[in-house]
Amino acid sequence: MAPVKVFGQAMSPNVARVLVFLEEAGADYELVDVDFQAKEHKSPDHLARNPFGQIPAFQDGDLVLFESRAVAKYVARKYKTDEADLLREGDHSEAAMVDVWTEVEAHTYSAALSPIVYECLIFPLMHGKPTDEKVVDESLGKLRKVLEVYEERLSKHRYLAGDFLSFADLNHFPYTFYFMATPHGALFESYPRVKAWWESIMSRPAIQKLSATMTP
Amino acid sequence: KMSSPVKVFGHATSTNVARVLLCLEEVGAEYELVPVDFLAGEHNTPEHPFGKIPAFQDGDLVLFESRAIARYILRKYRTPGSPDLLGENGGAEEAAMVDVWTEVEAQQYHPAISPVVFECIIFPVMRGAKTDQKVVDESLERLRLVLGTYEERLSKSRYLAGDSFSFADLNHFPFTFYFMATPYAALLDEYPRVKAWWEDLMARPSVKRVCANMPTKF
Repeated sequence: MAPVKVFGQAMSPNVARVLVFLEEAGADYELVDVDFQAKEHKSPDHLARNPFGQIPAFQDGDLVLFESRAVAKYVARKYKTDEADLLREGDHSEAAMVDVWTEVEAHTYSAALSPIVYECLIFPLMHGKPTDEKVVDESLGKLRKVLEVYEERLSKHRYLAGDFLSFADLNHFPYTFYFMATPHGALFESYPRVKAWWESIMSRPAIQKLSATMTP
Repeated sequence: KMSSPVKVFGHATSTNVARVLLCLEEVGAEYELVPVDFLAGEHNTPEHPFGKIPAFQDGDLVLFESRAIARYILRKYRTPGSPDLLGENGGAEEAAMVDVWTEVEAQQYHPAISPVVFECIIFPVMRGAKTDQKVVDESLERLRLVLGTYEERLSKSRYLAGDSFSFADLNHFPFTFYFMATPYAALLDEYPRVKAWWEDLMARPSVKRVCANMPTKF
């Protein structure tokens, strides 16, 4: 069986999102670079894989996919075992809880947290653009409220969807990893259960391995 | 054993509530729409930790996040007569394509179209705010690029995820419905395949039933 291909760089949070699930599964994959400086992401070859000209794109045989959460879900299904069932699609209620907290990550958690990553790391380091502290402050305010809800949730359950690690928890990894490299990472100290949950994710061998490829 | 109807907490005019109602109508499930005045802190609704609508209840199960609720409904209440909107019974590739274009709606289409709806309808109606034309103009530029990609896609594929209508197409309904009530509806005329795809969606019986409770004039 040929290894699947992921197009993009491991340091990109949305590429990392896909790599999380491949690493967790111990799957064979090939990471194919997309040269942004050379505008390769807008080349006909890449647009044929991702018509929005973004990364990641993904290929498994004849199947070509894009949008990191859709790709991640495909990977989680493909490599599912009885021991590693991150989506719980065999049980309507469990699957629904996984979906709920996956949506929360996409629309609420990342909406509050990722602007801080962009302003403090990505814009200064990659675009020489200064940090907009107003955006950071507004986002920190939103993030505090989100983390209060997470703290409450994690006081009732070991992980977000229930007492099992799921697709929802692991989707939080890429942007949170980079958040911890900003000056505001210490915010999690105020939310002990969230902090413990984050540390349990970070301690996973697959996450350790992937983290090492994301650090410049 | 007759199960009681599921409950949806929210208002039929809300885009995210409409998303859920559409799925219930597609599978023909019985439901009760319970209005929520969450500002008044109603105690007979399940807690939505982020204080938004919709929330949803099926027996002991309480859910929030409209796309999660929608998926649950389409899986649990699907009957042999109703279409496989998630593509999950069609194999990994079919389900993956539905997921791809569902994400496209959330990550590409929605950020381009929703500011136009917010500026032209939602903010004026709910807050008495004036339309920020700069935001509208920037959004329309973004939307043109997205619609160009959709036009290309729909030249190769009857629906977004493939040859069958799916959850991916359905997710476009709520905000597009309201966009068509803004002064910019004619934008779709510049993308004939997108326009035909939209009209096909609007002709679905489930969509007509949900539309009946959503205003077109403001």
